[in-house]
Amino acid sequence: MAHAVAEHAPVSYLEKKGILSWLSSVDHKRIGILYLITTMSAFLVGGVFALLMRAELARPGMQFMDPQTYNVLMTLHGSIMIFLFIVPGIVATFGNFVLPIQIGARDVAFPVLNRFSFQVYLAGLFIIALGLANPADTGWTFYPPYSSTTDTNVITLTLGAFVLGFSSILTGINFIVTVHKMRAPGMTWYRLPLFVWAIYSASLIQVIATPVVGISLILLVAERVFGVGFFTPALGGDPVLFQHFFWFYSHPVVYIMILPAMGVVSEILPVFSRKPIFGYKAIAWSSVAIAAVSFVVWAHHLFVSSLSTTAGIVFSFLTFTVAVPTAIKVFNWLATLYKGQIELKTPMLYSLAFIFLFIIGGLTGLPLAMIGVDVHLHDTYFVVGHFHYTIQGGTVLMMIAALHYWWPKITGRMYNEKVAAFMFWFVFIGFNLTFIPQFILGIGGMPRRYADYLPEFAPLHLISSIGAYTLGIGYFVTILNLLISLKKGEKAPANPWRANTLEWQIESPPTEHNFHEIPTITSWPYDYGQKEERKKESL
Amino acid sequence: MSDIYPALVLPPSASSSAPVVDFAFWLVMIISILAFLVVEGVLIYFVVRYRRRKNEAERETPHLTHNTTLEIIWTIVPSLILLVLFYYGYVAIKELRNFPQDSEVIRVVGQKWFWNFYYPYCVEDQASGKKLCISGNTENINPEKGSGQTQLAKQENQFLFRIPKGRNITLQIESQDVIHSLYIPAFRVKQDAVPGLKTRLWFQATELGEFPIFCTEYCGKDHAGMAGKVLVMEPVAFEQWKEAELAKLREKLKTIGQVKDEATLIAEGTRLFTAKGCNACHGLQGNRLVGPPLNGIYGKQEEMQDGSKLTVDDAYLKESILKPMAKIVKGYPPAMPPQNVTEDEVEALVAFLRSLKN
Repeated sequence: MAHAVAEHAPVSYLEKKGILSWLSSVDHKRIGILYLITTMSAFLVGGVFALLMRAELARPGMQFMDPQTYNVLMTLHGSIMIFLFIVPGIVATFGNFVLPIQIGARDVAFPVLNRFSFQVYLAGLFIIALGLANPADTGWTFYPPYSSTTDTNVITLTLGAFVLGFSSILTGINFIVTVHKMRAPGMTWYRLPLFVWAIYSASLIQVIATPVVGISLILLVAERVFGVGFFTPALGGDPVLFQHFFWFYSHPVVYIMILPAMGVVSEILPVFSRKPIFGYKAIAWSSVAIAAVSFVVWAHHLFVSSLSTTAGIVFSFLTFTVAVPTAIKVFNWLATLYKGQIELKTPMLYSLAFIFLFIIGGLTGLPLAMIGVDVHLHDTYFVVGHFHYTIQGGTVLMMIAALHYWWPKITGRMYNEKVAAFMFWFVFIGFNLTFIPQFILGIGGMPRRYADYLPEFAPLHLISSIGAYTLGIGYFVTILNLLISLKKGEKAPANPWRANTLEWQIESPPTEHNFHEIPTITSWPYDYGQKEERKKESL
Repeated sequence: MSDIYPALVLPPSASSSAPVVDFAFWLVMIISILAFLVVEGVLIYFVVRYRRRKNEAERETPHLTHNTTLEIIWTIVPSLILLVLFYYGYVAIKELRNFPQDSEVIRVVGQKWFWNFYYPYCVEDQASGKKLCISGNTENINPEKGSGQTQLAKQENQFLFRIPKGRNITLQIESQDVIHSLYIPAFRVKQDAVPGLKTRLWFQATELGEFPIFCTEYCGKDHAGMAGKVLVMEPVAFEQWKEAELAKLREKLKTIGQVKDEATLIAEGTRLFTAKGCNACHGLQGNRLVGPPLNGIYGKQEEMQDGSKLTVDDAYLKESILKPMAKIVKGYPPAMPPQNVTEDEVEALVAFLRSLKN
């Protein structure tokens, strides 16, 4: 597959200096990096809020803050993590940087629109920041009538989320068109890297689901500002209607978060096992299947909200159907490891941790899908644990894995492997220490979003807080290690991991136009480890 | 409260439906733990077995891309297991929502940040047509600083939601303001209290004792303090308590309509201001909450949303408590729900507000 290695001195895409050259750039790689900087900053801020909450929750009673402050932190942690970090997370950063190169293109289909998406993202970020003067206390779910009556800045936060939604829609459209129209000659659908399939599926959800939450947030603002009754019963509205609207977007959105992570895993496993990905078509189509089914499961968030029992049973059944393609993916990843030669480098460590944690995240989804059991577990810490196992254990860990995996390509530098691998254990152990106690708390009946709790829950909360700080140290040093490598890291070769996808066949860091000559594709990118003769045959 | 149950496993199983839910719960737990051991076992085994050891040369790995038989098996087997789990979840919800015909209906009204319980046990004065029923609410402790679970746990003589053991109870759940959710872990029941809707849940308590009640839908500042306890009593003891309460109400019935002196009214109004949750939205230090502050409001000129001006007097205050949407003060949302208060209570509240003139 190696076609496009430089013949004469290339100009790196990082060559031009100055903030303006970055902000005015339409290069997908530079836009990817801008997203990387902003989303990771949001991650750090949201993470600090989580640590403040865990400090307060370490012991029963109120120690460092009043309940209102806690509620605000809880709201900001959720909103910042969801709207500013996880949703744009892998899609906008690595989707932007890697996807065009992986399909053999010089850029996305609409580069100027791509820059505009980022500007819209910045506008959303700015609007949310404006609201911090009197931050909202509604939780990231904005349920009315609480959200239409509280005296905090709900409007700025919802408008910010609304604007961010546009950024998400535009990026989604851009990627869908890019995958359809910009593939290099010979890059058939079944030769696409699985990361591309995953981003493509996530983009579909972004384009279809985001408008719905946009509309409902605008209706909420209209209710607050003009007193139009959409959701507040006193004005003639229906509060449960908002929940339907909200979750019609916000359940699919968890698949916007997790599908790209699954895509990254599917890239890293074959490279570091030196084996072809197992069940390529099953993984590719299960992404699409998950995207499709994700639209018809939303009401499992409403099992105890006055939803009819019959509707609840139907949604319980539909929810179980998501588990099947998810399980298929896990089995395929395991089969990829079978008889491989597994190299435990940092990206691989995180990928294996992802599988380990995602199995727990998936299994703990089962009692929540069982409607009669969910009645007990709904809105308890069990749900908090389940959610963090899938989204933090899933998406955030794969964001870190992707950072390490593509770091040499993006920056042209190698990070310090020893530090990264050592800090991995802080993250892995800290993570489990934080969230396993939360499952037990939830089973015991501890409700979520509580600033204070009964004394019998104290020991488990203390363990969870200790875990959270271990995790915090892990993430912080991991990111610091990457930043240090920008100055001190060794120069990265073009293909340090001996990977087959196209981004590794060009320089590290890539040139402005990625390829000197658009490559012609003759095989899928997962032919690892087999004999030389066979490789020739398949080419 | 800390000795009620250790928060390690499921709370005590104290209702007739709890064993059905618990069976489904333990079934999914056992299946999940087995699946966890098998799948994580395979993962760990593969990683250990096939890892590249130090200084190990590159090894030929087999070119395995798919295996249709295997893939069909690992699609169908989990699907069948999931069907079984779905079925037992269905069985559990059928039990939880199978409302018995012969149950006593108790009204529960959630409001920031406590639960009101209205029993159907009443005394009536035939002559005047006045009626009083047994009711009570979990308390709104320390409303200025915010109350938490810790304070609640320490609280002496707090209100207990008393119910008899072995009798079917249906709770008809409403909300005064925002969405709340009534959760009694020991009974495995939970149902949202949605303003504008009447929802319900039922249970039959099977164990004596005190069990926590929580609010599980985030509802603002003191969400974590919106909690209380249910007390399951022997039916005989429950009847005795009920009769004693009814006797007290009969006494109270006699005093209705009697003229009370201002000091008594103010004291009663002061109590009601927190007991009825007025303080959730109205400050007394000139601080703006959801609604306008109420200190010094009596006798003040207020501008209404439609531009008209009026002086705050008894009539205006009474109207604003009973029909909050009638006149809205300029600059505030039309958010206040009609209050569930008796005429006597309105009078006491107005007297309290009058006393805050300076």
